[in-house]
Amino acid sequence: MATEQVPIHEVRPVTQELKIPARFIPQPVLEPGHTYSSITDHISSIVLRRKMPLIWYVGMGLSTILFLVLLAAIGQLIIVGVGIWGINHPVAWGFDILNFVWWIGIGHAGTLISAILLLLRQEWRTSINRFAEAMTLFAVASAGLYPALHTGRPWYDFWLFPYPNTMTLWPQFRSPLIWDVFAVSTYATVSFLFWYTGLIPDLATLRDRANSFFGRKIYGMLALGWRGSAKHWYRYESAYLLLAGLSTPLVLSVHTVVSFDFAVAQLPGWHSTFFPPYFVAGAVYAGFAMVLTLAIPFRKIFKLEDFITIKHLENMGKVMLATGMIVFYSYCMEAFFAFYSGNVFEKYMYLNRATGPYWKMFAMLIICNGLAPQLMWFKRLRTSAFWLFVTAQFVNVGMWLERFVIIPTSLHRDFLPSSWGMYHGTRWDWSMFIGSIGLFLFLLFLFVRFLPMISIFEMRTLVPEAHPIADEPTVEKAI
Amino acid sequence: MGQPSFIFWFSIAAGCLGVLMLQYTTGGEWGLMIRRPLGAGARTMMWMVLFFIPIAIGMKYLYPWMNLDWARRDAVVSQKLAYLNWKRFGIFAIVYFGAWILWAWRIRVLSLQFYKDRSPYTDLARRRWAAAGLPMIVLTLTFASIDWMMSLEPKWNSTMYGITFTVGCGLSAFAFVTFFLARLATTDAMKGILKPTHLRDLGNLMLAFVMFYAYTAFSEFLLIWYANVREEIPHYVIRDVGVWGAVAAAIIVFHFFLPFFMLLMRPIKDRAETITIVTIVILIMRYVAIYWLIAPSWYDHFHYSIWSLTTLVGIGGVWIWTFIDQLKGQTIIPIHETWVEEAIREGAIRVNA
Repeated sequence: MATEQVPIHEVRPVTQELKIPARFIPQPVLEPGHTYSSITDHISSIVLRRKMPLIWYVGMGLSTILFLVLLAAIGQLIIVGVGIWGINHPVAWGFDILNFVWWIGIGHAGTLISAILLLLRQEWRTSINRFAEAMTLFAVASAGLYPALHTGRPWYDFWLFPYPNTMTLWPQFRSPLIWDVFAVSTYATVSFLFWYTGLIPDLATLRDRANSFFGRKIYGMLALGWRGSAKHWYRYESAYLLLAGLSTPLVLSVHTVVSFDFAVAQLPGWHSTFFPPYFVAGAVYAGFAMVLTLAIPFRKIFKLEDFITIKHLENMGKVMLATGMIVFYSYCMEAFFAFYSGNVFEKYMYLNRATGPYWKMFAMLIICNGLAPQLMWFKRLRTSAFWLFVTAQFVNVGMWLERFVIIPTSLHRDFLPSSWGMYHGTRWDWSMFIGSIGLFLFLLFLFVRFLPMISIFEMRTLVPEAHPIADEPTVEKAI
Repeated sequence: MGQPSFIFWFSIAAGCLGVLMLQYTTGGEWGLMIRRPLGAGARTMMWMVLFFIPIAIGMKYLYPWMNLDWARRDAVVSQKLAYLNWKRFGIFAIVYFGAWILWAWRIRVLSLQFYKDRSPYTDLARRRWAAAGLPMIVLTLTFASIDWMMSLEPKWNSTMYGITFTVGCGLSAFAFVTFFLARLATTDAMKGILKPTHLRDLGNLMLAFVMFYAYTAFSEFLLIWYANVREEIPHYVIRDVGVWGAVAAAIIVFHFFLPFFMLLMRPIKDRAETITIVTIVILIMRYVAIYWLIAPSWYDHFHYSIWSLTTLVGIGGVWIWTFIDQLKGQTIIPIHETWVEEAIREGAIRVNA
């Protein structure tokens, strides 16, 4: 077009002339002053050179003790059987599925941050994706324990998979529990591949910088011969994008299938058509709360405030608010439809939840998941690490309570009053739960010790040198 | 017979308001080119009140629960009469329309003020209204869909209904504004400003809405089919047999599969001519889906009368006239927004295909 071109600053009749108040100045995703080498030095030194801070040893010690509690609980379970748990008629699903859903949900933030935010080109994902992906893997590992052990004879767990056998026994394909096997195993596999693929360039950096012989060898083997050539980068980018595409539907599918475990039943409190999106939103909500729970102390301990900035924390707070609102909407709909349905069983179920023997759980649920995230409406609170941490703790507890309210509370009083009963977790239930937290933290502490918890090469793309200055952009005068 | 027509046009207006508020809250560059059409679409809500009046007057012909003799005798419906009654229905409708008009008007006023003062505080005020409006619109659309559509079958209920309807409104709005923009792209005035990447951006968002709608609608169907409960299943039994069943199959193919595959392809999204076809398919199927959802509540067997078509065209004519009227006197692109140049230069692309 032959129209006259003018430099952009001459046609921009905007706020540059005004003094911009501080609150309107965007927060950076990487604090200024960093160079390629300062980023690489800082992140790789956590793994390679620096002695771990004392608090790491304390955390590792505590999580190892909790992990041992888990092993003891599993040992007892294998020796005695699932009778050591509190499950019995009428509540045959208790802590086992409750904790499974809680852990699976927590993993979702990792997939969302790594895959969906990558496709949406959100720069703020860069410093938290590695960490969140690792969290996904460890959360799935903790989640996987429960259904595997709940079968009663875990050494026969391979029967869950369809394979040709002489007894011609097949799993029940029409059961959502079998769909879970496929959904969760696919999720674990793709999440692992995605995480590992993203690690390869950084593993090569560690190989090149490692001082010890074993360090060089082990990181070298894990780096799969990465040399950083153009061809390597091309293939890496293609594979990473492909895996992101594969991971995206998994964000929805896993928790959708988990919600089917309940929603296909005819039980009031479980059979509700909006369960799939409600569960997915809850999963992302829980996941972001856990990322905040871990990121806030870790950025302090390892002095990562320049990389995980207030902008990251604020954005996570916003996601928590949005998903928390969806979860709260679901609670409102549950209440409304219990009465609108005109079904006495539905109505009773809801009244029993809110005023029955488990009313305290329900009240705490509303406080934790309904009211606490509303704090995130205020910019001052969502830009404060302290308040974000506090809110995230409410959400962690709230999401556990949500599953408790859905599962045992719906089961313990069903259609026949003669079959009503109460449910309480036994000390083995609690040991297993606390132990699974131990396993999660144990793996996480190992991860921060031996692998870079922030993607080094992706952070390097955020320094100003990575963006060569282009010619002064122009716009057509016609505008 | 006119109700599906009203709901169709209403869904575009309500969707415009919802997407507009989403745009002002998130500030994504995808929305820059469609802010003006979305705002104009949202402000047509004042006229939708006019078309709601016949529904309010004709309630006793539309809603079975208005027949109190029958409703009081029915075991299920009698439990619901505290909610399903004309007084509450009317008051709620006034509240819904009041809230929608208030938000559409308030955002308009703040936009005009921003045009004058360009103060970041005005922008902040607009963003706050928009953010507060999001829970408002989701809740009001949920309850409006329950009142106006779901209660046509007073014995039936489904918790997903409001979500599916709200997502459907968003899809209608995206399809409409993309159609509008794609038509403009061929005019001299917009040549060189509207770029393929702008359309691709909207195409990607439409794709997301197409998928989300299919996800909620299919989940709803699957869970009801699987549980096979006496209270729920009649809703689908009527809709899945005979011609209604054929319409359902057409919805699966043309409301989901066809736009889904078309919108996956970048050459289709990038060209104004081709994306226009996708938007037309989606808009037609939105009407079909709404008709399929509403009309079987009255007719066990397929029925379509000339009055359905005339109301569709009639309401549509007035709606488009008000839409264009609202667009008058302003630039289609909000040129005073601070980052408009960057968006035009970059093609506003932030969503990857």
